[in-house]
Amino acid sequence: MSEAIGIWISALLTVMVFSYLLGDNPLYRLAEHLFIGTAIGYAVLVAYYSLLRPKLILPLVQAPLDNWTLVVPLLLSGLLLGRLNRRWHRLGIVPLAFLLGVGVALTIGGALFGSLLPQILQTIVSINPAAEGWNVALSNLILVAGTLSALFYFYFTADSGTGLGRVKSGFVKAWRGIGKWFIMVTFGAIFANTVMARVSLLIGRLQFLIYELPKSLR
Amino acid sequence: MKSRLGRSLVTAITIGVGLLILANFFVRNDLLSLVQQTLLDWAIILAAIALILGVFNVIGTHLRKIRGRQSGWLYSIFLLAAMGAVIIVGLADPRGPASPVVSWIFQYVQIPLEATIFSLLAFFVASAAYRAFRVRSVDSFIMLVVGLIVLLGQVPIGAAIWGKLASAKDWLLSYPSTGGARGIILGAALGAVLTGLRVLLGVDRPHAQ
Amino acid sequence: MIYCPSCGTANKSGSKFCNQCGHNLTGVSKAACPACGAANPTENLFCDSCGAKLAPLVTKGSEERAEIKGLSLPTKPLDEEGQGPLDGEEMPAAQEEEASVPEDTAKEDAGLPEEGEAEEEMPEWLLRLRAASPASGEQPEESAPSETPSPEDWGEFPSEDLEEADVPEWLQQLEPAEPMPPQEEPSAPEVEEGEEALLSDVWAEEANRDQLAAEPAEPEAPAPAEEEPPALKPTEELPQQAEEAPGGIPALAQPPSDEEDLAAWLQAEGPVILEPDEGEEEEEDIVFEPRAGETEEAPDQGRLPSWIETLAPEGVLPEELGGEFVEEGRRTPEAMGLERAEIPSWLEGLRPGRPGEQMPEAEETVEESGVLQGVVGALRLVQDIDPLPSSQMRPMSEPVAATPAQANLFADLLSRPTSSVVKPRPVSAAPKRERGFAWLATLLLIAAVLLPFFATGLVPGGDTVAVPQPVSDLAERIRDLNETDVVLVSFDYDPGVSTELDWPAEVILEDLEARSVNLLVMGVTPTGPGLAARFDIPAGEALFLGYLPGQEMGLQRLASNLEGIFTVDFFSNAVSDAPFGVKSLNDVALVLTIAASQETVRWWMEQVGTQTGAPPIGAIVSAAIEPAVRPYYASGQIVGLVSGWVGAQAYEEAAGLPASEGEGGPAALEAQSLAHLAIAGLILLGNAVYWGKRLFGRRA
Repeated sequence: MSEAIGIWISALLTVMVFSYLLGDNPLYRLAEHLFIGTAIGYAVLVAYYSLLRPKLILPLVQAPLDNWTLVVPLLLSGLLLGRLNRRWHRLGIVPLAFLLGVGVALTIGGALFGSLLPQILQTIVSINPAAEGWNVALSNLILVAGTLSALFYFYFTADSGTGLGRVKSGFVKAWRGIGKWFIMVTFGAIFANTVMARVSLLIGRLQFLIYELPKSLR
Repeated sequence: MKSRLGRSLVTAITIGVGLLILANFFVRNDLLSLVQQTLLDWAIILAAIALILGVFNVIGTHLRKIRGRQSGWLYSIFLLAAMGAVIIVGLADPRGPASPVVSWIFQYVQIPLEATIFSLLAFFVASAAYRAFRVRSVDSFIMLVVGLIVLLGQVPIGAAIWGKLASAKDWLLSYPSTGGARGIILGAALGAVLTGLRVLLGVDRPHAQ
Repeated sequence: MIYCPSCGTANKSGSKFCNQCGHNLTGVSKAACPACGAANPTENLFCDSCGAKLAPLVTKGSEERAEIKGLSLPTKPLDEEGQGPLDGEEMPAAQEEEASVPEDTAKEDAGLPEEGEAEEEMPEWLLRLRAASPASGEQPEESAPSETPSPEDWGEFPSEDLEEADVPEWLQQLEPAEPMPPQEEPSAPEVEEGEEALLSDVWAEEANRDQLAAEPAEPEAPAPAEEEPPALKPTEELPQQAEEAPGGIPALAQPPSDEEDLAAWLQAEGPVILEPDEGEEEEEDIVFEPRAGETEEAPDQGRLPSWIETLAPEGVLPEELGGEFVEEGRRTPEAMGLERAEIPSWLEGLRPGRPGEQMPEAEETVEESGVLQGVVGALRLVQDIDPLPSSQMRPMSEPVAATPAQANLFADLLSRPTSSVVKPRPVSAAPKRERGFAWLATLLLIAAVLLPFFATGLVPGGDTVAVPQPVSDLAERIRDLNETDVVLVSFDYDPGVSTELDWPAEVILEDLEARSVNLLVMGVTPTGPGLAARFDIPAGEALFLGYLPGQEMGLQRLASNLEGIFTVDFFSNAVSDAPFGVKSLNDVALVLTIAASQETVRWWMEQVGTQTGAPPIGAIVSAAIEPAVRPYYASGQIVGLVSGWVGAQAYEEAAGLPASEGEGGPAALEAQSLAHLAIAGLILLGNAVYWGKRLFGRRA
């Protein structure tokens, strides 16, 4: 029963959102605000039940002496919530600094060991046609060239120089041009895949209206 | 904090905490690991509190809108009502978000709304494909050709158009596209490391007011 | 050369006392800049800090360099080494160079003027200076030493107490110069001594000359010819002087009549926004700013430089200086024997005002400090530069003669009063044609998507897809799992993309269920666990751990130690310390992340994948992020990759699973095919239309 009502309500809300195709209208605005309200409420519930209640409130309430270290995050949380008040606004900078330090360290370590090193190491691929065959060797060469030239594009600029500087700038310009092409290839692939993803979403919602709704009528 | 001492203290917190956590990437030590776990636990709690803070901000904004009868204040009432209903119903049940009522709201209100809003993007993509995807240079020509190959190669109809379209798509995704994407990832990672180092060395103080 | 910090007199290097005022020169090694006060080596012409000229404005001209026979001059001319006169009576030869320094030395950063170029002829102003007694009683010595520069060849200010009798004999003996050819040079005014007013004229002339003298030496334009030394009323004298002025002051305008006007036009120095002149209209080929290049041309005989044209009153813009130039009783510069001069572009802004304008009279003011200390009416110097009274000032941007129609229009626009309330035109919606095409695209897409639902089997290719390597890799990895293995499945996507990711998630969960592996289900997004709870997973085989907050912080925490993270599950049931015997991630056989954001995948790679003994990670991703995630698959950080509906379909095939309807129903992939075809067609159509218009020249 509740499922049938739920499907009808879903269908109604779906149509309200699709009405945006005809232009911005009160039905769409209402649906949009409903969505934001429910999403925020749900996120608060999840944050409370998954984290704040079991990891902060209950330990401090049930066994404060065992969990005395939780006073620190409690205090920091209080300072953070103090940002709502203009008078205590500045005190909120301490927990923010704490979060910043943690985030920055994770970013550095993660980027270094999770992205930079593995990706650089894996760019070292064999381009030896004798070992890999011409197909693979050429493809690997393209992979390496693409990686290097795309990096060139982001990190180097060329200005006209004289003499040796001219040679250098010509070299950089050429590589940047090639890098731009490779980036365009990536963007083309991303565009096509994005189209595919969005079309899937549309097909799913239309399928819901076409299949699910009639099913619930039966 | 206005005082110099305050600013220094704040920067010291950032650098100290950051170094303690970063050390774990380089050194395997039980004590260091324990310190890192404790700091991460606290940070996770703070992240949840930051979410609550954001919610309070939203509530305040919409309450002001309602009080001031600003444009769209009626919608703000619905927003706050929906938020309040979900929270109240969820708090009333010890299972919280897993309670039947909240699950029902999640399944039949939130998911359809969000999914349909996202599905509108397909129309914008189609419209943009006609109006904005114009070949004006070699770069955009490359993007167009690759886009068409991948677009048609991904779906079964591509094989019906040209038998080798799917393998061309695979090759494009595996080599040239991966090369470009890898360059992007490396560039972003380098930038992230440098920016992070600047903060850890105290050169940048993004939180400073 | 050492310049006395007190009186500015140039003294020979090594001098211990100023031979003019007797100031102690020992220890003087620096000259103070009049603009910024910075100390400069005494040899500098321009300040090292701000670039201001340390030397006074001097006239130029190589051959006819007037001797600076200022007051209180050293007794003998300086020789090439800068030897100064001892008794202050003779003019130092080096000081003659002052007049020879061209204006554009400021640009050229010229060094010292050539020394030893004795000038036989004196400028008119200087002649009068010689005879003049100081206007006020202040001596240059009284100026603040720190502010007084010691410019090279700086002529002495008229000494306060210099009276007729004190004028050096050499000064008195100097004849009025015959400086120029009759055409260009004014008649040398007779110099009368003791006339303070001459000082103002002197400085006015000097300023004008500086502005007007071209690089190639021109005959020195002496001061306005003054038959008789005027009384000490510069305001009254100047117009008269201007009438008689020799060349170099074609546009002597009246100084402001009073302090307020003075302040007004001074404040309006630049950019000068001038009120349009009501009485004058149209056809004004006047631009306040000289046109590029025009100032470079050497002024022809009698031809006004362009900058002059900007200032000339309407209707009085002669091609050549002639009778038309005369206004209000003034004689043309040609008539006065003046020659058009060319000034460097940097000095353009200091051009005097238009000819013929009546200059308001300036007050007689005495400079009390700085370089011009003791000088009377020094402000008139500046007044001459920009003498236009505000009521007669013109808009800076008056139209150019070359385009009269545009000029008319522009002047008309400028003269219109502006409306303070301008209603902006409403932003028009996209043009009709564009909106039409947007509708076409929308309808085409809807038709393409809906058709297969009502007429299946029409689309060639059906729902058959080739299995990509990343999909088969993941299928193989899951195939190798056994019953005791624990797989961590993380639902890291939002409801917005649930339509796309629910199908691949369902397919893989089905395969995992078929393997009877144990599942730990979690999510790094708040909605992840809720999305996961909708799937039919046998209770005994899965533990819904719930939401892991903190994004990358949570993942790093998860990777360090699984214990203590999830104390209760999604349904608020208590969780043991080692669910399914898993105490850390190293005990997990496979991690699967179902993500719609490239950032989420990156977090898994960077925080979990970097741990020692980390489990292999597979990814089920939205098609939109597949190209961005591919490098991680290529590097082996991701062991398998399934993307979108096509990936789900391919996985079913790779894993040998029965075909499921999935989210999109039986015709999902056919609908996808047609939609892709429609969009490809739209792209090609758009480009065909665009290039057709370009190639065949039709207007868009």
